[in-house]
Amino acid sequence: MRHLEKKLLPLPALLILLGGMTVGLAPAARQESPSQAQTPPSEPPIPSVPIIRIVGPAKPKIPIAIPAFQASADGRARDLAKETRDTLRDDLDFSGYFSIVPEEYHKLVRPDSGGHIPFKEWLGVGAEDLMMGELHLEASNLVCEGRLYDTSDQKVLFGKLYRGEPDLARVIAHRMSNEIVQQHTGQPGIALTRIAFVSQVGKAKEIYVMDYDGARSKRITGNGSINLSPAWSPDGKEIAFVSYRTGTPELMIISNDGALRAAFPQQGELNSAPSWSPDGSAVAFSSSRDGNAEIYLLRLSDRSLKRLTNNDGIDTSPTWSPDGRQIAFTSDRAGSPHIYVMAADGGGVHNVTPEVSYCDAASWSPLGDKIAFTARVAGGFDIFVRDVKAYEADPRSGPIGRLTENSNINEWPRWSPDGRHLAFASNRTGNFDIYTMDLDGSHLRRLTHGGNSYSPAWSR
Amino acid sequence: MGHGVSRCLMLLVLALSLASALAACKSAPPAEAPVTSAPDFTSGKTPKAEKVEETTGFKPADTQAEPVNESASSLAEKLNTQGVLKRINFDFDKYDLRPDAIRTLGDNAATVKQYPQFKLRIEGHCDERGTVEYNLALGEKRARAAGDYLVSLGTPARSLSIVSFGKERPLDPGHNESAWAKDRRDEFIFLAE
Repeated sequence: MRHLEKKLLPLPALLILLGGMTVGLAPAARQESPSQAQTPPSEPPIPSVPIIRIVGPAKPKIPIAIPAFQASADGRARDLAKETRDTLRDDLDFSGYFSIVPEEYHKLVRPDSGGHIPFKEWLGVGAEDLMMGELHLEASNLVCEGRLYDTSDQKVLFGKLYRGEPDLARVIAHRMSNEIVQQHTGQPGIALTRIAFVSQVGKAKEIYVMDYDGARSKRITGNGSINLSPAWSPDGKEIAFVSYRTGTPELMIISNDGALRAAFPQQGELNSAPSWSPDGSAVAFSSSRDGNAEIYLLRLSDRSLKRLTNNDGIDTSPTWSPDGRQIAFTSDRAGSPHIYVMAADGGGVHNVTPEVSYCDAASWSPLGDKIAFTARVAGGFDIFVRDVKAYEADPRSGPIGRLTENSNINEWPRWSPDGRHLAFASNRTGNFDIYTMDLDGSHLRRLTHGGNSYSPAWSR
Repeated sequence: MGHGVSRCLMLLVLALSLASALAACKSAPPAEAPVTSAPDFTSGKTPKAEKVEETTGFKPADTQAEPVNESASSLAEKLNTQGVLKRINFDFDKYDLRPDAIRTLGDNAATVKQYPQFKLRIEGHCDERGTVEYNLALGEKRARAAGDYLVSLGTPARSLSIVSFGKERPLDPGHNESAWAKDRRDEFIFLAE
């Protein structure tokens, strides 16, 4: 095994390159026998796994210029104009559909005079789209006007006026971003989505919710115990999570109006790992209520329970296929944890990561074709993606892509609602923080700073 | 912006109040319907650690302030503090009882027999590697393995309860194998009730 681990070391650099690479997913470190142990713990054999980088066909991005928003003279309006414009720029950049024309190019375009926007000059610096905005304060409201132009056709693609409390500048920008994305792709933008996560507060862990870009973080539990594993309802109005507030791990549901309830009557057994069904009618979770961690289905209408798995191993961390017909989950029934897929009624269980020795925390893409998961590798844990659709059609295909590689812990991948990004937790700076990245591992964004934050969940 | 542009815009710009803009928007209003604190929660506006730490800090004082129940609860407390029931440890990602753990459980079973007035809680713990959810299940397996074995040695099942803390309560905060080896454990707690 040592031999193999050494062989692994030079690979990180190579992996950046496209193409099939062979990487052993080796245990992170040799398991020392604790002083009392008689026999060294048996290590699972280390299979070699062909890992490639999954990079989708790169669609050309739309170059868009977003010059500074006009603002009325007072400083407050100017600050808000800058915040709105910068937030919009970050949203559009994040979406992956646009490339932002660098600001130094804006100087090359003469300020519009006589009421004519110099479209040709904007086109000349590469801007196919031009987003202009104007912001002023009216009584206590901010009023923001946004116009999107097509520079070659010299026409307005969309225009809207927004009015709201001054602290909603970011929300207005997110709304504009969604409009622009919708305009160009026909797909809803994700700029108004949110990420729930767990953060350390003293000795406690509490549930927080923030915007998808990390702004406006807010704590939503405060019971001083351990709170874990937030999972959104599909309508974004409720979050299921696990709480030790009564001393044992209970499945709870908190609503956006603040109401908190136990998901169903519980008696101190382990209930954990909630995952809401895509139609919102049920929550899959793991429970030891019958003596061993199995996957159950809680029907919310009558709080009835249905057991889906039945074996001596651990079954946990369910995640739904977007059509609600299948559930992927973690099971160690074969000796170490792998990702399995079953029908939503519990039938047809099969391993979809047989070649990876230790993997966990699966998340099924909202587009249905991929399952992201965490796998143990030499040096830590990394995020991988299996093309499960191709794999189900033919196990010889359906490659596994590797999205992180930095000898740290990168875990708990969770898809954005458009299936183009992943949130995850990483301790690459020493502390755990929430990050997002694109599906090819690029465009890393750190969303939390300081403290320790874990277990992101992206609202639909 | 020039006049021509403005005129053009007048036609195109939809003058919407925020409320109507919200209504027009497909997704749930993000700022207007935030997930807010539950009634029994402290306000979530500026999360600070202080309150939580205070609560934890009060526990020893509470214990001292209960001289009435000294016989039962303080004896259990004392036995727990003294560590008369020994921890057992596990290998990575394992919940089977090692030979050293089986010996320790034999000793613990004998100790438990001396205190039939107490209930016993077994806490299963894991090291920090692996995810929260898997480790919760693993910790539960570890606690249950010890519980089943104690029952086989004659400890009454009804006096036993188990709880998993997964990787949430490491014994040694270090990030190396010697810390992890200590973290992968069952703890045995007398409950005076």
